[in-house]
Amino acid sequence: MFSFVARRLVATLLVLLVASFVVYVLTAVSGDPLEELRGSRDPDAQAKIADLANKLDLDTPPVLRYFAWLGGAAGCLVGNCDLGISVARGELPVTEVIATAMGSTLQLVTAATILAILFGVAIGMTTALRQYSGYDYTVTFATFVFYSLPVFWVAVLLKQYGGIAFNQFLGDPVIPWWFIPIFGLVTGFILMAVVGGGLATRIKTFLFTGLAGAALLLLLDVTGWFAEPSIGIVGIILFSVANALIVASLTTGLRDKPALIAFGIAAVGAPVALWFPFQFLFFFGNAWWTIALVAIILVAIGAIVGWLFGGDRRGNLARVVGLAAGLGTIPLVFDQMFQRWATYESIIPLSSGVISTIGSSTPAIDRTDDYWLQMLDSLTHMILPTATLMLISLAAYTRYSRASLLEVMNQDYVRTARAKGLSERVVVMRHAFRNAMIPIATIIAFDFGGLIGGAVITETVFAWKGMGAVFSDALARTDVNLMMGFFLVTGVLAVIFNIIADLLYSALDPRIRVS
Amino acid sequence: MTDPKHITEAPDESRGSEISIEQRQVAGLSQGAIVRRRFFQHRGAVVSLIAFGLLVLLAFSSVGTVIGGSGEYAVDTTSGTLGIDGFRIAGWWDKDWWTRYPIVNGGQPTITLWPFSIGEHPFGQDDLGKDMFARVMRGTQQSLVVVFLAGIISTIIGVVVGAFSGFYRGRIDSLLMRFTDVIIIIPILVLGAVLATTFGGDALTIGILLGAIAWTGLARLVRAEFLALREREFVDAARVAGASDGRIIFKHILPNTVGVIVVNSTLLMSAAILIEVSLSFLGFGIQTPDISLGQLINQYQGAFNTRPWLFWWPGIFIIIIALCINFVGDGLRDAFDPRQKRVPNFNGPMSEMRRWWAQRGADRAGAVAPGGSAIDASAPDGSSRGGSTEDR
Repeated sequence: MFSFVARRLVATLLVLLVASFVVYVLTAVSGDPLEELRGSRDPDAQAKIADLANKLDLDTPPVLRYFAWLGGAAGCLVGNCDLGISVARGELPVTEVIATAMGSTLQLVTAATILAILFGVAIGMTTALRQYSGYDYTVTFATFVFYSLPVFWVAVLLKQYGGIAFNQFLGDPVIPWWFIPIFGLVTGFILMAVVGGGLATRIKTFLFTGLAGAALLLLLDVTGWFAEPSIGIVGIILFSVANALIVASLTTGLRDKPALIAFGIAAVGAPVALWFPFQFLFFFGNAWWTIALVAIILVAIGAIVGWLFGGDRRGNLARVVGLAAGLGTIPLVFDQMFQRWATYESIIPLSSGVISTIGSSTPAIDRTDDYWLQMLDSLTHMILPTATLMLISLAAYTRYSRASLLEVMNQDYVRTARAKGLSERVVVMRHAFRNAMIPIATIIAFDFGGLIGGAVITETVFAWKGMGAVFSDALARTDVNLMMGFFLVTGVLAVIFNIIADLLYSALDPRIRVS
Repeated sequence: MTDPKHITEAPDESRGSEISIEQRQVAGLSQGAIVRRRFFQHRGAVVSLIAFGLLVLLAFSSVGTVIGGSGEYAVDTTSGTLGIDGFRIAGWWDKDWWTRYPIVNGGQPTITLWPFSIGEHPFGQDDLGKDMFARVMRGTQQSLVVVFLAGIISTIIGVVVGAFSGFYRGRIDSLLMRFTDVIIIIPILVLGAVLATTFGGDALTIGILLGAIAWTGLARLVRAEFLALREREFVDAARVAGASDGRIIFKHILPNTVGVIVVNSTLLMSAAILIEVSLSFLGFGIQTPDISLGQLINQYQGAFNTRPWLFWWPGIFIIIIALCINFVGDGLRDAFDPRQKRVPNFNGPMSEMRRWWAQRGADRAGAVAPGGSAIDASAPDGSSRGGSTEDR
């Protein structure tokens, strides 16, 4: 195992060296960093040109300059990075530029990827379980269409309709009367298809969820929730009940009385009861660790309650109830953010709407000391680019997980599990799901590798100052150092995650072992 | 009984028979014929193929094309109008993509659905008066050229690299795979943009460049196939018969990998158009004065509020091209894979509803349904129940 990793590392190091050489020479040859200065009428231009040529060492041919750069980059291994200065960014050191840009991009792509994975795997697996149904065909067709969409087209469309048009709607939030029944119909159809079952069950599911969806939207409209969104105790109760129901139906089933009681106490009761005390905690502990603390408290409560009610299976129940309780942190955090809605609306500049289409944060809000307000600001800035990035990733994950689960469901051990008399829920969640996730795990690892460099277009459209902007500026101004900094980050990450993917595959699947 | 008469009859269907129903269906047909037949049963793929063909025809015939030359605009001294450098083949559309025409209808599209008329400028005009239909058609042409070039070149390179790598293994395999890794590690957008900036921005160059960098996935797949297939007996048989390495690779093993190659080739092509369009959008792909669909969207993205047609039409054409190619690829994948069969679902809710409806009708007409209940959600073989005894 160790020799395998070592061999892989050496081989990939060689590959990285060759690739970086190729990128360096190609970028250097592609244009002239001094082009802008040469055409300038500035009287100091000649002096500036000479100065820059000296700093960037432009007299030596690119091939030799590469080794100089390599020497500086090798210093990174000992903690003394010297990647040169960046022409495109006012002669700042490249390390500084990349550090700030990377933080911005990481924020964006991590959220998008995690959401895409969660939703993609969920949708893909449900379509696999309901193969050849109308839901399956619709989702497959939709994924096809999303695959064929160019990213920037989606980005500009979302900017227009998701941003500008939605902001206009929020200015005067009245939902047209015909939208409510349509919303009810759509939610009814989706849930009916997902839950499945015989004709009677489907009709019941459709009616129930359709009416519930329509009623919810009507309620939100009538109470003017869209003008001043808030979650409050009512929202916390609703979220917690839904959360507990979903987790329970997926893990222990809804007929398990002790488990249901445990869920009720820990996943519903705890967040609701602790909501008020947590208000103080959130107010005084104005930082990220507050969230972690709340999560730990809720998970601990869940685990203890699960253990107490578990009986024979206390370990399993503790895990599951702990998870459900921990998920209760999410509505609490959102509640904190939405409590600052009025302040947020008053601080943002008049020109931009509530859902922002430009940049990654509002400078005025960055200067305030309120962590939750800053979080709300980040959220509204992140929604549209995240949705753009998510759409295409989602399609890919849906297809992969569908194919994977279909393959697993055709295996003998699934048939055996059914023959043993296990319920469909146990067969799918305990046996099929885990084995279907193995190839997905490796795909996720690959995806994380390509994360940083994958948001170039979205960042360009939404004017985020991230790694995409770094790449664009570097190439436009023929800034070799900045381009190499970009490549170093993306290349190293890709390599690391490739190795992780290989290791993961052999760790998860006992049939594959390194030879 | 070894009665000679029975030899010409159909094989015995009792247990132990080797010929399945599926094999009977395709008895006597070549692989190409089987694939063709299965492909044409896939309605979505056939519709996409036809649509794509029509699109290609439309794009190239409507505004014609320009062969050779630099693509620059030049004032034609004899007639005093702006012309384009190179040999121009005209199309049936009377306008071209660089001339400014007088603005009609405020620049809005003149196409109307009822009564159906094309009008002067069916896709509208931009603020300078240039005809959008001609521009979109020219952009489509360029994108199609890039797609086909990139597809063909990357397929050839990918197959060759994968074949040699998988067949020879050992040092050649290591070398070729490390070379492939070098190309994989550099993000394709980065590599494409850098190369395009260096070597120029017209459709032919971009097509060749994209073809030269997009073959890596195909190479890996072909290598995997070759690694598996080289262990088979027919390779040994060919070698014993005296076949050279080249012959074994190209005449024996390669035809067995055609399925994988064709499917991934189409996926490559749909990826190629999205990459080219993205490159042009960022400003690194096909440069002005030549037109690309991505470049059009980049140029007009700010105009969405005032002149949305400038933005919609190029985007729709990009989507149509990518969708058609994806559907055809999916149809090919289904055609090549013998295990995938679309089994009609006799137990689904729609079938159940139909049976229930039919049974209600039968009940009213007086026939008695066996079992009694109209909706029986737990019947596992409702199909046989529904089909056997009712009067319809």
